[in-house]
Amino acid sequence: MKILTYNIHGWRGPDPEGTFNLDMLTQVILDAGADVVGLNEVFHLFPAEGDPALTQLAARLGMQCAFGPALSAEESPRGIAYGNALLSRWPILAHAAHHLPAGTGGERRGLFETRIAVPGGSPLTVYVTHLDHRAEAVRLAQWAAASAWLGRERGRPHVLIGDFNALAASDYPDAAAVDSLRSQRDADGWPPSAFELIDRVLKTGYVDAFALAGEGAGATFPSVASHIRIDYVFLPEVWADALVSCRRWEHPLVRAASDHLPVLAEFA
Amino acid sequence: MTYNIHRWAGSDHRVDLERTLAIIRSSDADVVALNEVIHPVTQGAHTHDYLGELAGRLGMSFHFGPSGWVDYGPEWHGPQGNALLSRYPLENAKSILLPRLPTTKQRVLLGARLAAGPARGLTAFVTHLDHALEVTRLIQVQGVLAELAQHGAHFIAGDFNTPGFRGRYTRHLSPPVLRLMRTAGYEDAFHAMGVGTGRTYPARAPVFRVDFVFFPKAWASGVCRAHAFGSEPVHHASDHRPTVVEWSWPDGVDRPTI
Repeated sequence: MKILTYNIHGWRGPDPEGTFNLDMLTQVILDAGADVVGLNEVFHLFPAEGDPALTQLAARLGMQCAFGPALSAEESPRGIAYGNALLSRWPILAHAAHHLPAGTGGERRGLFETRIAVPGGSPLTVYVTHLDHRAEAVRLAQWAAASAWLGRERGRPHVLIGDFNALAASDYPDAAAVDSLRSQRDADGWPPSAFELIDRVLKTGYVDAFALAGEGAGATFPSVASHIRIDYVFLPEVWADALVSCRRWEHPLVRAASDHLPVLAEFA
Repeated sequence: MTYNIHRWAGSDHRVDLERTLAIIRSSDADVVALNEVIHPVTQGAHTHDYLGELAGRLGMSFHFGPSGWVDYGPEWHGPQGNALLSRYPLENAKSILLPRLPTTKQRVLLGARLAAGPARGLTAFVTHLDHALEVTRLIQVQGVLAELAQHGAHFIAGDFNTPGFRGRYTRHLSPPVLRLMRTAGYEDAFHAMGVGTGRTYPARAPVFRVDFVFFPKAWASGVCRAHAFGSEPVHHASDHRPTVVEWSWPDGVDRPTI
């Protein structure tokens, strides 16, 4: 089973015009051969007229789709519901869109819970999330809320994927790497970010698939000159043996399709 | 009152009917919705009718709606499900199966109408939703709503297993199951008129509010108070605390003529 996590930048390419990227996304996902795809930054129903991009994408891939709004159309600044989505080759049995707290002045985020009928096995629960991009403190509050839902899964096989907007200590193994990160963050004008969020996710009992079985470069953002890894595939420790590989999905179109690079994990 | 009684067993793994009886009595409830009731309970060579005994000593009538079978071996087994107890006679009792997903347990919805008393004509429902996943609970709630839509004045109580957040960061969040209930036109009695934190689980030092009573909007204005309570016996009698809601026919709402 192949699972892909992909932040699709609200159906826009990373270019200044924000080109509608449906065709490129279709190619990138199709060639990855993924069975299950978690999408972040999805507007649905979008565009306002014609078939929605999400259902078109699913139809072209021959997959089912489900949408988990974090903001309803009334709450969304653009007047279109916004959140996470899931594509699956196999039937999506049920789905539930959980809300995560916004933090002061931020926007509410979501944790999208889905149950997929995997052939020849018991159903698999897939959680797709997209955490706050501004402050680690907000992400920690969002994680606290997410844990209330994830805690009930305990030892059962499930996956937690998405754009966590947080850095992992495992990507900065020595003092030199941490120093260069710090100067880079200063130069970018981003707030200094600790590794607290990912540390807490790991402490909850999750395994970072890339840290465990990663191949090649891992940075996922920004797609054009990626230097940070903020998109993750997590699985519970008890299920770690099933992980075969985890890598950034490289494709000729991938840098024109979105501002994030997708991550592909393969399970036995 | 809605109360998950943890299969009659307290945190001390003891069946103590006196304790459960005292808790229900102290609430002075007219209608009691119970979850995780085993009825009857077979312990080795003996089969106990704890539910009948409880109802009898409370002077209440009761109905039981089984959803499955609990089997901890020959020393502890029997049908498990929800129960409704009432000071006033119950009629038209009905237990329906809720929709289920593969590998999840069958859950049920039990309902019965009050045939007398000040709330005559009000139908009481009780359910107990899946403990693990919100997606499963959403499917189950759709079954619950489909049945409730066919009734007039009613309420639905039970262990919904979805947290009604009261935390610092989560105060303004509403879980999918509660959003669905609200969209379907139901008012969470505690949300409307709650006193205290309303938290019910785990009983001794509760962090989650998972036990609910909902009224359809048309009858929700009759809710005048809702609270969950703890006490020495409550801390040991079950892993949940009971929630008590006071309700009367709202002014200007017609009573059913039955």
